[in-house]
Amino acid sequence: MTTSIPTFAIVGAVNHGKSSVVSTLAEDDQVPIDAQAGWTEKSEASSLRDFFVFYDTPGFQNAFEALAELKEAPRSADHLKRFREFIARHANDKEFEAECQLFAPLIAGAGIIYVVDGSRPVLDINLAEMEILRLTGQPRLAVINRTGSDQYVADWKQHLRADFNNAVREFNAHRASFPDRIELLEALADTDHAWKPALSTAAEKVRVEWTDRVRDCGEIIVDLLTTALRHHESGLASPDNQKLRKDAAEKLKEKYMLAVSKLETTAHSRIIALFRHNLVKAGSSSDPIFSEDLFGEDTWQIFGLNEKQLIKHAAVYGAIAGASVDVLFGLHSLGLFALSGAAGGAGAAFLVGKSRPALTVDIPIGTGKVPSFLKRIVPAKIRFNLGGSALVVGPYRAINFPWILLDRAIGTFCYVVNRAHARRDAVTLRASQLKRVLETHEATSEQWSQENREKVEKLFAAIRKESFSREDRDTLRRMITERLADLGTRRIEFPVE
Amino acid sequence: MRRTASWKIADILDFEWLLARDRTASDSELRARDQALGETILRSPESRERRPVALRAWVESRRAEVAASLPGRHFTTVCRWLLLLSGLAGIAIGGTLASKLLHYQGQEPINAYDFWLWTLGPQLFLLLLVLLFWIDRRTVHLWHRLAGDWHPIHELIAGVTNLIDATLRRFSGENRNRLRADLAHVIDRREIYGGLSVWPVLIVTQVFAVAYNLGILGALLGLSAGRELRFGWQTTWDIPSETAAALVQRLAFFWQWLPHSYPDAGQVIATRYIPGQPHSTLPGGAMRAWWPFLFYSVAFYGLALRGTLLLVAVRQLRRALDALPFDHAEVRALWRRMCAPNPEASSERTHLTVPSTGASEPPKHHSGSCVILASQDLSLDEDLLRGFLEQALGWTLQQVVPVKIDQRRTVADVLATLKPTATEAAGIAVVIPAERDPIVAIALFLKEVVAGAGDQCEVVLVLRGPAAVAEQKQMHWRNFMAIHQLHFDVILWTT
Repeated sequence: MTTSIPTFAIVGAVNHGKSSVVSTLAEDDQVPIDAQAGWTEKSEASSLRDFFVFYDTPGFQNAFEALAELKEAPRSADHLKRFREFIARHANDKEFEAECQLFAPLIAGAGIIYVVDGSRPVLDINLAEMEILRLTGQPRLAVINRTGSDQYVADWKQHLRADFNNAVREFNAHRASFPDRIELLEALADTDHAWKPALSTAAEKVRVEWTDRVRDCGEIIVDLLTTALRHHESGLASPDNQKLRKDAAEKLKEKYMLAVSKLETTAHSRIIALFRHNLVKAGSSSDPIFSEDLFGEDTWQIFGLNEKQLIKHAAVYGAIAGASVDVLFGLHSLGLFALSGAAGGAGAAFLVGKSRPALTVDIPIGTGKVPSFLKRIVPAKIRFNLGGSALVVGPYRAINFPWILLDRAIGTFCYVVNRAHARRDAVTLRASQLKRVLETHEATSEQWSQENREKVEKLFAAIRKESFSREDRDTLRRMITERLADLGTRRIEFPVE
Repeated sequence: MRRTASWKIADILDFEWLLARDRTASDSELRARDQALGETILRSPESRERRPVALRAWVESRRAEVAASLPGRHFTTVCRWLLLLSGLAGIAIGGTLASKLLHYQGQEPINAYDFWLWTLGPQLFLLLLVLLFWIDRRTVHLWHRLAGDWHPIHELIAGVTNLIDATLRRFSGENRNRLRADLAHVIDRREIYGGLSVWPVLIVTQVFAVAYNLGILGALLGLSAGRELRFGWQTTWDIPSETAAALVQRLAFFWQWLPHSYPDAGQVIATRYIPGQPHSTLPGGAMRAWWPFLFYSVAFYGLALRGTLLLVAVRQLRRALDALPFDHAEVRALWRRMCAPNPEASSERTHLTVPSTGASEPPKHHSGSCVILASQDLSLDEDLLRGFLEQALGWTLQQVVPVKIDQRRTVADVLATLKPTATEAAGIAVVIPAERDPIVAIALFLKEVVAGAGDQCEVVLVLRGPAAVAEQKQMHWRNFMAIHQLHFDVILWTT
């Protein structure tokens, strides 16, 4: 290998999916891909960070004649000599323009990834292509791109094995997830003994870098949770004019929801960017990843904990609140308040169900809504001083809120790590679709183990109570990262609409 | 033979515009429409015998049907305006220049030498230059030897081509290929109609030149009617007066039989003056003798010469239009549709046959037997193929030969074995699976087939496969064929 970064030329017949393979392997969704045959006209490099370089080349256009000419050339210890001479001879020859382009990275020392479409039959011209590649003497791997039916996969395998020393892999450039990609990159290491150490090292670097990205993703989600759970919006409105006050409160609620949604969108965008997707959009931009917004009723019905879990959590919160009253009574109340609190919390959770609890407007100091009898007793001036003109919305205390944020963030992660960069479609996921997919892979909050769920719930409570320590943060990030790492190794298929 | 309405450039523009419009229409629609038009048009014996006549009639019929404003009409309007403006500009410039030159400078006589040189000199110099280049290109290639490989016009074209190429790269694959195909269509058309383009330009320029010379003559006549024009001559060149007199006599060679055609030697010598010398010191008769010479000079070396060039350009344009072969792919396809048997007209019969009336019988060149070159990765049912060929092309199947569609070196052998058959065949249909993508190797194969088949044998490409695939690929193939300058049609034979 003459280059310091492992370099491979992706070659093959026209319209067999070379550009798609490059796009997916290099995690580059800007590689031009077109259904039109012969779209790629020049060899263009795409690099996977600093670990691998992949050359997207034009498809073979005149393989038989190129092969005949290459075979006529005298044998030499330098296998690539005849290819250099070929390029020199046909530098301005339209008949071999594509061949010159695709040979160029090979004579510069690139290895070969020969891409074939498993849904197409093996033609004589493909055999000529294979023979040309064999003549290069370069390390090579054949990739059967499974874009459609598998009708000819066995046939391809049979023909490829001889010329590619059994280095044949199946790969779906449009569905490949990270495990598929890393598997293919590791397979490259086996193509040549001399290249193996460098390629193994590069593949390992890709793996490590992936782990780092997953950890970064965990950090982004923790950031989202801590900021969203603490966020509040405040405003001013005279306590005397109830209509104005009501309007101001509604506006403040909208402002709060908008701000929290924006926090979520920013976090999702960071996750999307982390995995190098330019065509996936978060939030309110066109074709966003989620069709329903964070505060939509469907979102609350579908994501987060289930009703049973919610009742249980509400009962615990109610019991804790009641128990504190029992303590005040020196426990002479015999836990009656704790019991009542648990029953009240559970009952309220049962009644509300999975619906989104209304946002409440708090008045930090004062009486809030002034009863009419009080109005008669307390002069307006004093009331104003007591209640003040301040209005506050948030932090949102709904039990399910952080779990919904978590589910949607994990959904975004699962989607982007499983979306091949060769795809050019814009997908908007419905909450129900995403839930189904996550459920299939046990990725929803409600499917976490009870132990983990309780630990995380305590950490959420700590965030809300402003008692969230550095250790707590590390614990939450570690738990979320472990979950992401586990999900990142699975092949999750998302519906395409 | 009765002279029918001839083709004009406007007709060609309309014809190509209408053909381009048909590219997006479905085959069945086109077939139905053109069969119906063909039945009417081909009733006339002349139309049956001469394809240009029939096609011109087709253009007329289609013009009547198409509501849109066709480019031919705009072209005609623009041409008329150009000719009018050229004529007016020529008269104005010629008249103004002559008036300026016929103006007395102080007491000096009007310089006949200046008048001749300024009115006729540039015209003759330009014509001489063009003539020299023309002779050089056909004989010694002196320009090529001097300039070597430097071709400024070629360089300019290459620059423009590179610019277009860079622009095309910004488009998506489909758009890019479509644009490339359109560009190739223009280049194709240039090869077909390129010979026409020079003549309208020449006509417009010669109209200007004729009007320019008429303007000069008009000024000469007009000014001489109002006052006496006294000519003398002088030059800074050291020319003996006798030499000048001899030159004048030689220049008047073409009209020397006319009265007072040129000043004699004595008059030429007598009218030579030095700057500042008043005309009153020169003999009046000798000075007046220059006027007819100058008038005839402009009439012969200017008006007559440019008038002749104008007539030649008009004549050459006519001949170029009459010589148009009308045989590129789209025209062939149109002709085939016009001449094709109408299946609906014979629906009660068990077999499709060519209508027996002589009126719509297709010409021999386009019906008859055909040879099929079928891609070897395709299995064909000959009965189905026979039926398809009869219906779609009016051809009868003679022989099916499996070929390696992407190996052009095999074409020569195939055609050699088919030599007697292929020579007699009306056409060759190359059948390939619709799933195949167009690649250079196939283009080279098809080019070999076209070269080997000869001018009289029509070649078509048939895409065989599922309708959805074939229809999707048809446009790709058409674009591809256009880009590779393959002038034949791509038709579908769906499963």
